[in-house]
Amino acid sequence: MGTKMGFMVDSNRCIGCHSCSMACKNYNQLNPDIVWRTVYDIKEDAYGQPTRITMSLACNHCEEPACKEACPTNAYEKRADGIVIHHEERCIGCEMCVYACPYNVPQFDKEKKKVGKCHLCYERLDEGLSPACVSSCPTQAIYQIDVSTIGDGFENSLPGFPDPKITKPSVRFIKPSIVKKL
Amino acid sequence: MHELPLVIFTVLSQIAVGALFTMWIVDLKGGILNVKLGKGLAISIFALATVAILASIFHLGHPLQAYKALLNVQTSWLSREIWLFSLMLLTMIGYIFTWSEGKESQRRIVGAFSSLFGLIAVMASAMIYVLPAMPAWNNFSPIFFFVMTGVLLGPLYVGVVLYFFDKESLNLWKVAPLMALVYAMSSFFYITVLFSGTGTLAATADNIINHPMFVFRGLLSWIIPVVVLLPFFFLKVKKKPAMMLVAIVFILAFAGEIIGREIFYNTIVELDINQID
Ligand code: SF4
Ligand code: SF4
Repeated sequence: MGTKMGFMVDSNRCIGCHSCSMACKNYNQLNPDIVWRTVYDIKEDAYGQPTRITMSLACNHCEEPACKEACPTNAYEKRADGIVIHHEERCIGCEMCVYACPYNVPQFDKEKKKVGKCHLCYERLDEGLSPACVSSCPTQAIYQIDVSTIGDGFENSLPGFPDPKITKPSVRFIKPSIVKKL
Repeated sequence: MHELPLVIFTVLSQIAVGALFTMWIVDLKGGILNVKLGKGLAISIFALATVAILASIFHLGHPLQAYKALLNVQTSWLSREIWLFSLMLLTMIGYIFTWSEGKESQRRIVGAFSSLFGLIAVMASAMIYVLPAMPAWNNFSPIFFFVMTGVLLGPLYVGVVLYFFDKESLNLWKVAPLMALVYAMSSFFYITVLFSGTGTLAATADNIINHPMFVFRGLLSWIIPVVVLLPFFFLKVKKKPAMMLVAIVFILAFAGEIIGREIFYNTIVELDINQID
């Protein structure tokens, strides 16, 4: 089985501090209204009792990327290591990928009139570094993984995450352990 | 409105395809016109399709690079759509030239290809929206509704042009009230089915019926063609509606389709994180 790079999202550790999204914005020099990594609140009662839980999500570098399929200009490429990258110079800003991605990942930049999305900082990975978001997380709640070797025992979805059957996202989750109130 | 170029493109291109198909069938049945009128009608349909395609380019962030959208026919319905509309336009040039004396058989063959490319192009347009990320569209409805726009307005368009230039009209006005009935009933069932769903489906249905223009859309596209034209089916004395009446129904139904398409784009609820479906 080939390499399938993606993210592990540990919701047990995530404290919702948004360092990851800020680091991503900063590293990629994104325009003010663009975010490539978002920290979502999981619905309060998702685990049976009101609890504040967060999950930090970016592009899932899907096995069957809907963005790539919909793009008329072949602006998307799935690399041999599984990372889905977007070639900005090929993009004409038709927003078909925005429609097609079930996770609302590609973002239309009104200034550039093109879309953009997380590319798993592949240039940093190639140099043996971690992605900017991973490096900045104070609790190590996100890290890059190879989904093909990570093994079982992890969740492939958390409450509120759209059906992973659609695009087979390369993301795995560690679900929060809820402390029961006595 | 962000989708205005797409609203104009989809509605105009669907009318053009509906009109081309109508014209081809009428010609096939030997019902039409002198060659001058046929050529004029074909040119007007070609112009309509060209305006539609030009409008679509303004939806792009980079209109001057529109040609790049031809590059991914393997998987992208947008690429396929553009290829198919280009093929329709190219064959239509041949169709226009065959509207001269003695070229009936060539004209019917070229017209068949052109109409077919157009029909598949409309379906490809619709397939762009058949997406798991958009549950209310992820079914047959975009194809059906896109084709319905062509079926409602295409024959009316040809009917109005023939009415204006040819006293020997062909009763094409009769198609509109029947299609409007089918269109209204299927839209009713579509919205009802959405309401019986959960999450994004019910939310989309809610958006549709609460859209401030929804009543006008229903009135113009569905009710007016039926109320105004259907009674002529039952008149004892065989009487046709006046030319002006058919033209007005066409204009109103056209406005209804523009509003309807705007509603289509602006009421869809997409899958989203935390939107449990
Ligand atoms: S999450 Fe969306 S943008 Fe990322 S690879 Fe999957 S479909 Fe494409
Ligand atoms: S917006 Fe760019 S990347 Fe997205 S589908 Fe269009 S051309 Fe492709």
